[in-house]
Amino acid sequence: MAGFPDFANADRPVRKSVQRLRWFVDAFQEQAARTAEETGIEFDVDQSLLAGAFSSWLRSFDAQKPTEPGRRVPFVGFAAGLMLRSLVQSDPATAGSAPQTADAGCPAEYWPEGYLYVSFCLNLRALVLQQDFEKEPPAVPKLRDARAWWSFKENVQSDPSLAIPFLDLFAGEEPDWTMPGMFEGDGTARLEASSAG
Amino acid sequence: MADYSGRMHRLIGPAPPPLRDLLRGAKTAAEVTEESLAPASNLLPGTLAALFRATLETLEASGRVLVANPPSAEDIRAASRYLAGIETGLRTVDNFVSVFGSGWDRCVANERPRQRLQFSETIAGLKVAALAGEMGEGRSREFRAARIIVAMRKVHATARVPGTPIMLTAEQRFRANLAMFAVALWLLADRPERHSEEDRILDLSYALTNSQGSGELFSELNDVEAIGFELARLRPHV
Repeated sequence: MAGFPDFANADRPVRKSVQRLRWFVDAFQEQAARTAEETGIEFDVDQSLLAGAFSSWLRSFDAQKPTEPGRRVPFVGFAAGLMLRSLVQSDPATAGSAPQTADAGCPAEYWPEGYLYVSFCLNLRALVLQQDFEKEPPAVPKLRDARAWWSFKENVQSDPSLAIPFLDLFAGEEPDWTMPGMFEGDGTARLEASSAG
Repeated sequence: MADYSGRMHRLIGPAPPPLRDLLRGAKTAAEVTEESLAPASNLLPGTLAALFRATLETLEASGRVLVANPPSAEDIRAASRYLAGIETGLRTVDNFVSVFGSGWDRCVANERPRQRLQFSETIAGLKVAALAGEMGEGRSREFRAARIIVAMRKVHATARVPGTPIMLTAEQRFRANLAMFAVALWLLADRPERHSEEDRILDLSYALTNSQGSGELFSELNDVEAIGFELARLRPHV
């Protein structure tokens, strides 16, 4: 997965920066460029649809944002999942054709736009955890699991909220499949356990 | 065909609002005429067709004075301060409506000439100047911005024929209201570090406004409190 641009801003935490459309658009465009470099697949990004994804994410984010400081860390993963849901729904990127040399089994080849959205959200999640909370996110063992990607693409088309637990799965966390769109805030121990491991 | 926009700007300098309205109107009139008569112009004999196109291009070039001379960084900052109530006075009103007009032009630039509404700096400026003292002492910058855009809308500063209540379709009114809100949002947002990013911030403000859905707020744009609330909600997120 292509790394995330260094958009750290000394003036404000990443979790605050991402709530500004100008930062969000820059970061997404940079992710698209890096993913294109990694996969050889170019992306065309529709700015209006991207703004739509941002707006929709912001509404969900504001509606469920916890006020207690102790729930902020587990909310990071959930908020990244909400962002994946909004991106999947708005679908602002259109992939060009894959190069001849592409690996047919890799997720970027199977669903290039989905791979871009997942990469963006995982990188953003990792950046917030590292820079704002000094927590090391776990490795991402499921990211190249072809069966997980088939299931992901099929399921989010019928229920976009399933993007939230799927992002947990790709992130190496334990997904909550029962009420995917509701933040329960019980992930602190999980995250701390995986960080320690 | 020569582009006269640079020469016209040298002649007129920073144009007063009525002249800027005329230039804006001439440009749109030329574009509408061109769009309407394009099929017929193909039937004209060569010399007449060339004269027809040259005349329209001259009119359009006059309007490009506005496009070719966008507001400076200081103009935009001053307009932003005016909207926030930090800087007031008649000179700042003229600057504010001029900057607002340039933002408006950019927001509606992609609409077909026939559908596009005009913004009148003259009408807007008169109304905004008359509002002084009615802004609500101690109210937020977003409330002040809401008062201004509602007042401009009520005097039909954006219309097919500005200043006249010629009936608009619901879609035209909605698009116009979105653009007005977006320009206010742009001016309220944090200024970018580089002046060259102003257009982008305006585009993002417009995209963010557009993505708010087809709410009641934008169909009428007359509820000052609700508009102020929405501007305050969105401003930190541009």
